[in-house]
Amino acid sequence: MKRYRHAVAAAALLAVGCAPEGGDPASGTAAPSATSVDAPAAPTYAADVASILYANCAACHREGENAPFTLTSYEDARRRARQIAEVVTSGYMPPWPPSTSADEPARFHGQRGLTQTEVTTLTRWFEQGAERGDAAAEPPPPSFAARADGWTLGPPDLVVEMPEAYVLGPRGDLEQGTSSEDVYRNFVIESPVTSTRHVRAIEFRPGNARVVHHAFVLVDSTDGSRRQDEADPGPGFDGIHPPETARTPGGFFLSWTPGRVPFAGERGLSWALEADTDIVLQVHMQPSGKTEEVRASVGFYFDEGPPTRRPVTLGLFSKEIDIPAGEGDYHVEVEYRLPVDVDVLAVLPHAHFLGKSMRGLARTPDGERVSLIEIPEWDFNWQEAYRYLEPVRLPRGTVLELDFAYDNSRTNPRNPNVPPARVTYGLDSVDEMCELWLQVLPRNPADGPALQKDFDRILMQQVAADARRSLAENPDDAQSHLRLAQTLVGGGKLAEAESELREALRLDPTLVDATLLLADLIERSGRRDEARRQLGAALSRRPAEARLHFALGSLHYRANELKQALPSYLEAVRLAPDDFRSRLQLGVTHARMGNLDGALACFERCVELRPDDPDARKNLEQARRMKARRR
Amino acid sequence: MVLGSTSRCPLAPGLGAALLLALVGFACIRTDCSADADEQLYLTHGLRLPIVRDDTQGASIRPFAAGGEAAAHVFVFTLTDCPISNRYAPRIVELAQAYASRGVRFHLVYPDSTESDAEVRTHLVDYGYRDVLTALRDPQHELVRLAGATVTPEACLFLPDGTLAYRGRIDDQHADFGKTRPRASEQDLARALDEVLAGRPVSVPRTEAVGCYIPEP
Repeated sequence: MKRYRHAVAAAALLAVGCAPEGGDPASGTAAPSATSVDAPAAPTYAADVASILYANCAACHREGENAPFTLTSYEDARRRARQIAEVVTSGYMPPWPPSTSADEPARFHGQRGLTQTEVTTLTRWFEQGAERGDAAAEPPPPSFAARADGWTLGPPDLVVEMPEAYVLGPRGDLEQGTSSEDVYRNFVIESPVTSTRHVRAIEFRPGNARVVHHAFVLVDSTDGSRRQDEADPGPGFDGIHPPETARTPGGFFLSWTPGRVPFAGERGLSWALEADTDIVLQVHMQPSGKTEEVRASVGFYFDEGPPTRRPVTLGLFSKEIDIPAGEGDYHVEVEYRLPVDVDVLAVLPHAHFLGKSMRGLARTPDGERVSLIEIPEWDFNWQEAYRYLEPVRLPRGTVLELDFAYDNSRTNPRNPNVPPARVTYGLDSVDEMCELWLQVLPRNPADGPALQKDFDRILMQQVAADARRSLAENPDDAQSHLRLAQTLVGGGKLAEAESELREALRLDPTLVDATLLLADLIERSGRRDEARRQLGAALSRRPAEARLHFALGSLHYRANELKQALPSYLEAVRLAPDDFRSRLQLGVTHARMGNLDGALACFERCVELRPDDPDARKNLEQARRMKARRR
Repeated sequence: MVLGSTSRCPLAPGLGAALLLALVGFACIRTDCSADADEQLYLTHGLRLPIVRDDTQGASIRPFAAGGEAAAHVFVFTLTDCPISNRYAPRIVELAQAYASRGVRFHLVYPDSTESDAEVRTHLVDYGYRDVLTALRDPQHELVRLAGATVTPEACLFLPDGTLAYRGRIDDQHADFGKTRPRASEQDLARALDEVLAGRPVSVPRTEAVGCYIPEP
């Protein structure tokens, strides 16, 4: 970047004393383009520059949009001529981190970039005096479909907004001191749907375009995010990541950066927004120097019916990251062999502030190398998902390769540690991550489960290895004992899993997931009374935990103890009225005990919650038939 | 570097341009050399700039003469719509307040002739400058050339004798466009001020400021 700046300055000095040939700038007449072969006419705003800026910059650099200043008139551009020349030469603008070239056909949805000729025109325009040319011949200022509602994709089917604005201080969270600090915050919004909706597309509105720099939309079906929100005063909670329970729904990477063109989606390709889940907005804000209010919203666009195609999320990722202090070129490499033929729809690379560059590629069985994505200069601020215009077809046996490079030296200005320190895997801003997520569609839909199973196996190995690493450093980490136990169950090692769970609960008796899994293991080995005692003890500590009531109810239900199951299910439903599973089990219990009205009410609610669920429908129909017979 | 004459030559033809060019050359030679007696005269007597306050209309002041006994003058260049200089507003205000008691006078300089006084007034209020710093306008870039400023924010620290003791960034938080440190690690302007106030030479008299280029008038 520095190099370019000097090049531009030098060019400016060489041009001292210029009087562009072939045109009289003072009179404002345009230079005819054919002057002489040796000295091409200086570019003018009217003839050369306006069209480039309007087509490539004005979508963001206009009134009311995200960019800090407008580029929709000659005066706008003249004021910034030098800066324009510099940032297009360095490639900082238009913002597009992948190494695609505008001189080749576009590969990604919303791809940006200038051709070499356009860059040269803009730099020459600055160097040769930033002339206007013939104002009458200027192209008209760009008009963007002015939507009164502000939604690019049209009026959404559902709009979810932060219940209250977050107040961002003039310098972020810092009250005073030596500088300002970016703010990373997660906002939790209760899903307002009362019934499963199939989301085809979303559009994120930052609420305050001046300060919101990037955002992800996630979904949390547990109370993990909500609990962190409640523990933090003010709207939302701090952190560059919400807890891992907040997930990207169904492999749809819902990211936003300034100027992003929202993806309208495709029919039949959707993810399920359920009742009783939380929408989590993971938002990066840059203070502006004065107090700002941020109130972001998300517009949802629903598909007509349930999905007809089911994408699978694959991840090339590693938690084996251990970057020594001062290391300037540390690489993490990950591979995964595809067990079936797939189409890759989208990719999402992720690392933090030490990330330097990344490359994802596919090696097919015939040895062909297909680039998936390459980011030569990783920038945390401009991370987002990339969706292919044409899905990338990859045959089974293809090896997906990820190579992420990190700079933990002093020369990386983004390094959060001054002086540099050892950095390992983690979710905090001072930790690092290494991920490349892929949304793929199996070419043969029947291959979906096999692909998922194969990937889950790899995932389990990774989780187990990571949990063992954590335990080696900190044997008292209850969460790691729980994660290890989960992988052991997956591998059929039940006795080992049980002892890990007991250790987890000894360290943290409030771990609900550990209690549930342990009770399940104990029941499976035939010790029903012990499982009951386990759940009872947990309930005495957390009487408002709906999942524990549900588990106890189900324990009774499976033992055919309907009378004992009923109060547990009732309590679970009372505590979590939108929980589908509890409602369904309560309905079945009612029905088996002869309370058809109670059962009908439950099943009707179940069908409302998940209209496409076959169990809910079947049960509702059967309850209706039973009721009709009874009459 | 003040040799921005490329775009000025076609913009202002005629006698005005000739005069302006003469002036540019003059100021340029001065800032590129070490300060001498002439420069001091020029500084303290030659420069008169429009001032923007709530109650002023067309008033101007001699910034270097104001107060008379300042230990040092700091000019911070800014634009109303530059996100980088705006983000520094709290820090600029903080420094101005911190050094006021030690005799340092901070001035905010608006070098863009296309910004209106009304816009400047709003900006002063929005970013908390109004009651702390003197706001000057420099539509002809007299101070820009004198100080050799190129971007916003850029801080220029003058001694009472007219010597330019420091020019450059406020701190090192911005390494480049879009490349910022989580927090600043070098307080370049504050360090230069401390050295000046301690009667020591400034150890790093010039640094490269990152920000929005000051538009040609």
